[in-house]
Amino acid sequence: MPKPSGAGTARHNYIRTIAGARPGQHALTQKRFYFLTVAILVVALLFAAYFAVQPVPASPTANAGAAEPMTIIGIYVHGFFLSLALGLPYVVLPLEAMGIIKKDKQYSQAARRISIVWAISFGFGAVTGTLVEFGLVQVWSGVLLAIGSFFFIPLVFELFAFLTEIVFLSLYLYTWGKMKHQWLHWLLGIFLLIGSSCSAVLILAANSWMQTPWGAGSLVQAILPWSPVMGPSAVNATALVTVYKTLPKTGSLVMASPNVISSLGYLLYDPYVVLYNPNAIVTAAHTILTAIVIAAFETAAIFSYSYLTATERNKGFFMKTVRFSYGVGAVATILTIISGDQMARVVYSFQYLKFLSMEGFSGGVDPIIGLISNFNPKHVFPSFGDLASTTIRSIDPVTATLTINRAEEMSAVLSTFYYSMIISGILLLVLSISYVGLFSRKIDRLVRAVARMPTERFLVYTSFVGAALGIVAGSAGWAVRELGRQPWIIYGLVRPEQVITPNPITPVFSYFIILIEIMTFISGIVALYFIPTRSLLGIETQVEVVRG
Amino acid sequence: MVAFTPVSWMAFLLLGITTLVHITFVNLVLGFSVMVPITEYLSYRSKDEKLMEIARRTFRYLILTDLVAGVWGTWITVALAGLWPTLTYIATTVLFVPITIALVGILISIPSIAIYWYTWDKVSRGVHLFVGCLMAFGALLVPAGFRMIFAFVNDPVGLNEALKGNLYAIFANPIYPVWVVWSWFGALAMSALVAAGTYAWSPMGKEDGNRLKETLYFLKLGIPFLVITAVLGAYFFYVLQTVSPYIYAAITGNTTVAQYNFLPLFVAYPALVMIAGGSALVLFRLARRGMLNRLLSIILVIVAFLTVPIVEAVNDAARAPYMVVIGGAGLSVNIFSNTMIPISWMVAELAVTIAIIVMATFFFGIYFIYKVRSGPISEDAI
Repeated sequence: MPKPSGAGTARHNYIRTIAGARPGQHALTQKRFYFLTVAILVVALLFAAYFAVQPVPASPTANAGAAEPMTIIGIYVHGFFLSLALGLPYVVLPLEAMGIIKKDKQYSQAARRISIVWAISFGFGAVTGTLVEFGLVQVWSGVLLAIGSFFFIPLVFELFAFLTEIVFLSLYLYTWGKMKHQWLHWLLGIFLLIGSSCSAVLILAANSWMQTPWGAGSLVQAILPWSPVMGPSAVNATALVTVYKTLPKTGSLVMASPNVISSLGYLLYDPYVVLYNPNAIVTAAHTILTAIVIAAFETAAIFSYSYLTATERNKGFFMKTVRFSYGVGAVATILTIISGDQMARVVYSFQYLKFLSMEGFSGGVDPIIGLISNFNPKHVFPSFGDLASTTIRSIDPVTATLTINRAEEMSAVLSTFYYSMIISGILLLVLSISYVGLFSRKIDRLVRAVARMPTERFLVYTSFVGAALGIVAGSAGWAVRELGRQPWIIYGLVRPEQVITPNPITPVFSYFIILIEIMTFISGIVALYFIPTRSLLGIETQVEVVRG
Repeated sequence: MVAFTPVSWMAFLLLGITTLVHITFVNLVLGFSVMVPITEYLSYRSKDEKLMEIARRTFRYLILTDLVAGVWGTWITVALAGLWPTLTYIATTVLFVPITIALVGILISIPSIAIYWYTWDKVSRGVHLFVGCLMAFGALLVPAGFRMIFAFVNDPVGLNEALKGNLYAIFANPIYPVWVVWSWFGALAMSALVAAGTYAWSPMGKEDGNRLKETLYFLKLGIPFLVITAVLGAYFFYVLQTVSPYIYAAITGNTTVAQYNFLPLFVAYPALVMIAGGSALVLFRLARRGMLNRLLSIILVIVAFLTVPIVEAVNDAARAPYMVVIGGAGLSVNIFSNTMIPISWMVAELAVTIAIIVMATFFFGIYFIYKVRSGPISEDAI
């Protein structure tokens, strides 16, 4: 049993664990642990045997196809932990501030407990980040061409942001209760929040450049004639056209010739241009807000679970924290919807094909889409066919046509993801409005009429729904973003098969990496569940509620 | 005479500095990752509670050093990808297999460190030791993979075969096996001696009497490891002479072949090993008589700690101005450094200065955490 912290004036009451195990009841018995381990190993071996008999990819396109599943899973696993690590400071720090302002130790205790979840998410985010990082430079090794030029500034700045994040995370965690002035400790958290948010902004700037290669000027338009001009021309167009024409012939192997690369001269004259990308600014705002929504509803769900399993005398504490974290989620949801609208406008302006594809729309007149995007219900949208007629102006008509065909093919999948995101967003908005029932009698009456329960209880139950909806919206949104730029890895400039490693991505290798990704994800979930409760394999430790 | 360009100068320095810091801390992580489960096992076998306490306390150092090592590992990856794109491409393509080995090591090591810590006393001994073995295995895999990069840039054996698809031809590199084994024992020796010196010096000793048992335990491990490391080191430099004559010329001060003279650093390394060995032996004799000497302990910690960056600098910096050494010459750093964006001398110098300031701030932050916690990290904090 851990030593009670904050001992002295406070009275301590030990209650059931957050994990829900009662004293004497084992959360995970040794027998079950061994059974689970053996079961996982057997399943893993069966899959290994299946993958071992699969053919080795023989072409760069097949190689890229083989590498995609492990890349997608890796990024999603990384994204899951990262969303929590990015969003949780926006929940923990207001909780801590509330505790300091109101001199309420219960808020501080809640903040401290959630900061453990934050630390674990950060840890697993860093581990999976290493995996993604190696995947990028080792499997998609041709991307080094972009890392050395367009991504250079965001990545170098991100190093400093990451450093700030890790130093202040350590300081924040290790100085709980050690600072004479509580606000000083909170301030450490603010620096941490700045570090983690800047880190996200910079990485997203690199990703946004892959969506809208800002600074490429009219180069993308020369290949995809329906595309707008991508900002000022900050690139060496001659060199980039040479790269564009060389890559289909050599693939990523062009990078193995330092003399060829140096003979191109500078690819980019203004390395900072990536940071001015309008896509980057909107993406950063939207992603951070989504992360806050996910983190806030996850936190509310954790406290709701504790509320439901707590004894009567402790319910007040957990309700207080549910109300608070749910409130953060509600505010963030409204802001996310506003930023989402801006995001869609950027897609409409710079990736029109993706816009058509995700809307499941083939062009022409659509009053609702016309009204939302152009404030004109009679606006006529160019169709796939209209765009196809422009391909004759392209310097590479074959690839331009392929881009249109792919967008049409992907439309069903993309619109499914897109509307999953939209519906999840609308449901989250409904939950956010119901939150107002805590302060408005009219809304409270409405909640009682529809849900047949008071707003408070409604919030407890729906926090689980909110947590799930946040994850669905975030995952679907990223699927739309990444699938929507197919068949390009850097929109209008570079395709996946041109940057994949020349080494074959064998099915066994792919399987092995996916297995590690899944195991890391499971370990992370187990850690997120058990470590804050310190309940593992029958050792019961208990949540301590400080009664201030 | 090959002259550095601003970008190659910046790239060489940034990569060099971060590699030295990273490898120094990684050595501690590797050493502790192997020694902690062994100590735990010995504690179970001998039913010695004190050994268990040593394992726990040492593991706290491991967590802190892993944090530091991890940060600089990320720096190295970005420095390599951003500043050495073509070199990184060649390395990741040709050295696909060893890099995968290292990656698997990292992916096993980091989660198992976390699981090992959080499951202590919460799972059966067998399960906990199994996790410890995974942790040690993961840590040992990392240099087994990454040392191939160092071996390759010293002597690019198997390059052509690898570009044709035979990814295992690179393993014929004669310096690779001895380098891996030397790295393992070097890490074990360094971390055991640093731990011994730290325990002997530790102010916490005042509370519990002294740390005689801990000091003696780690000296018993560290002294034999140091002897093995010294023997392997001598063999390593013998092999280096045959596979990388340029580096050998640079470290032996033969400036008719090499552009720079690294003899002082090369001499410093065996001198440091001898001082570490000497102070460890004296401390061992004293400890057996029930005495500890704080000055000697500090010398042991500093000297043991310095051996790693010194020997790494001897090998890594001595290749200057080449990045890939081929016999008595090589391929210049200017060929591989980033030529895709404009970087002036002012930007390069500013970048190096900022990196050093940030590095210093980072270590100050870590020191501050240590001071705030009044000693090693407590379980409660984690």
